[in-house]
Amino acid sequence: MRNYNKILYGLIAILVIYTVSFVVFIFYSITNFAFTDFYKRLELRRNLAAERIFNGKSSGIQWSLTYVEELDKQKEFIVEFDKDNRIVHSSGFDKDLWGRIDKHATSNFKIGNTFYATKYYLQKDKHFILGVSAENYFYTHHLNYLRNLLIIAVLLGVLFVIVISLFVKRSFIKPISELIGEVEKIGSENLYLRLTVGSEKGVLGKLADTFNKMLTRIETSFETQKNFVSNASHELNTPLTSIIGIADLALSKERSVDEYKHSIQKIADAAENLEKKTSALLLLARTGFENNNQTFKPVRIDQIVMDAEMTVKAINEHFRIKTDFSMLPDDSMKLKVNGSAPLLQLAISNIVSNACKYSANNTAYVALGAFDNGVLILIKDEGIGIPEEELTYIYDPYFRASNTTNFSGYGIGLPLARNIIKMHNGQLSVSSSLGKGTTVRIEIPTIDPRLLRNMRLA
Amino acid sequence: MANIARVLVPTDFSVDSLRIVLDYMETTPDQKVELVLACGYDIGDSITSLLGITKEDHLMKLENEDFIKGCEMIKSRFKSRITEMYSDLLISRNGRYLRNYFKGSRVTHIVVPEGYTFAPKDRGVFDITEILKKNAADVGPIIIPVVLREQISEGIDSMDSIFFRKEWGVSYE
Repeated sequence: MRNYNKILYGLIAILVIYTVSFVVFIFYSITNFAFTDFYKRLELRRNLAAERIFNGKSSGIQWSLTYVEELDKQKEFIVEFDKDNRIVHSSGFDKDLWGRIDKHATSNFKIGNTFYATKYYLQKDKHFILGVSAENYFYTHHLNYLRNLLIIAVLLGVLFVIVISLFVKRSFIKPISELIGEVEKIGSENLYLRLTVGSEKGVLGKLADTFNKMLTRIETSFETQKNFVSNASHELNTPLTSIIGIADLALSKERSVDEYKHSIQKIADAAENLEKKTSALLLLARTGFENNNQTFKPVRIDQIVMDAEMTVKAINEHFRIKTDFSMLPDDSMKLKVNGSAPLLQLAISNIVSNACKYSANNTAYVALGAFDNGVLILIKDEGIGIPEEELTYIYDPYFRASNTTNFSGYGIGLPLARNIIKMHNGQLSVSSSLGKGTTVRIEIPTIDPRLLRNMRLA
Repeated sequence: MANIARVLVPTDFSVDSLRIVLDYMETTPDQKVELVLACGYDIGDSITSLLGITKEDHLMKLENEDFIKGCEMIKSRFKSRITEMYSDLLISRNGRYLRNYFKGSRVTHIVVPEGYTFAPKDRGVFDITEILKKNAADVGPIIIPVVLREQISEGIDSMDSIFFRKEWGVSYE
């Protein structure tokens, strides 16, 4: 921000310097012009006077009065001097000026508001200086006016530049500082917040959009971790407890070899189960940290649905999943979506395991169909449902519906799934009826077959 | 062209009514068909609506997004068998109109659902099952009765009804 201000002040300074120097230049040129012009006029009058005085052409007076106007306080003077430059005789001449006069040529000078033009003449071996003096009306009045005008113009101009700069600065900085304010509000605890993308389609809009996409990725990645932890803490406990229980029981007193064998077998089974769960959980957790659009590949959604179901079953063997593939399209190309298989699998397995968890029969019904430019996955259960007034909050992380107190969980699965679907430009919607069940509908756009062909060719 | 049947299937533009189409498609596994989803619709008798509003406008109003998606799904499911699928409106209960419609649009088969109750969302929509049955016999289209299974549960999501129609069989345990 400070840097920005520096640039702005620099710009203001440049503009001000430019304006001032421009004004000074104008004032200087006009003054210069006024001087030159006035000296020319004085010289003309001096020459006329010389004609009249030295050549006696008095008729010229008439002519000069007709055509050459009398200047303001115009005075003529004549000085006769000897070869040592001493004044012999003078008329109408202020002797203080003698030093400033060039005794052998012409000279123009100004004292106060009075301008002088003098010239040396040699007449009948006598040396003369003939001069005309007058006040420059233009200099005394018009130039003053011009100077005041220019000073006011400069002040106004500087004021204008400053006001405009501040205005521009504010209009530049305001959306950025708004953006900054919004970004500052987002922390690891409220990653679900998003920046408001205004109606403007400019760079800032794009920036906000990019930030939002990044936030979705970060949020997904955070949630993936949380999801793993919550799953792990929950799912790994059961086999561990059973292993510890069996071992404790076996150790509690002396037993026969067969009994020990039996116990160890049970422990081995439980450990195997544990291993299966761990690997399934790890499979879900390895959702690639380079999840961005670049790593999206064409994947078959039916394969992903089946894999997700397998994973759910591996994690919890009580869950049952019934799949309706009767609406599977004839053309398998209609099932290809551009996406990341592990992420989609994570999303679907989360929803499916939720569906199983919250229904008394531990059964989820999954169906898949393809419409013209997308696939539709329905995941349905006949479970406890979600209260209608809470449906709007279900996508908030850590939100759990009021009727879920008897079920373990952290409220991470659904927001995570929704974020993943969003990353695939899809939609996830939930409709539910309390006590009857819940249906989650996922729609993901499929790849344009023409695009796929191009990708293959390339 | 002879082996493609033009089949008229009554609908009320709900996803649920697409079950009629699905059941029909499953009962006739080898027939190539051109499906006409027909709906009885009273377009009113004001001169402005007769002149100014076209069939497409009415259809646009009646078909919702899910219905269209359902149609697309059916079309992609039976891609090799459905040559074409479109909606049409039957705008009168008049017998002569219907017979002319069948003739004019060369309908070869008419599906008559049994056990389906029309649940029109729009005021103008009416049930055409009975008048279809009554008028088809004289003109020639073959009537195919389709008995619908009672709906398993009331759909929570409107797309439910075209899925999960069978007993839950498929699963890999």
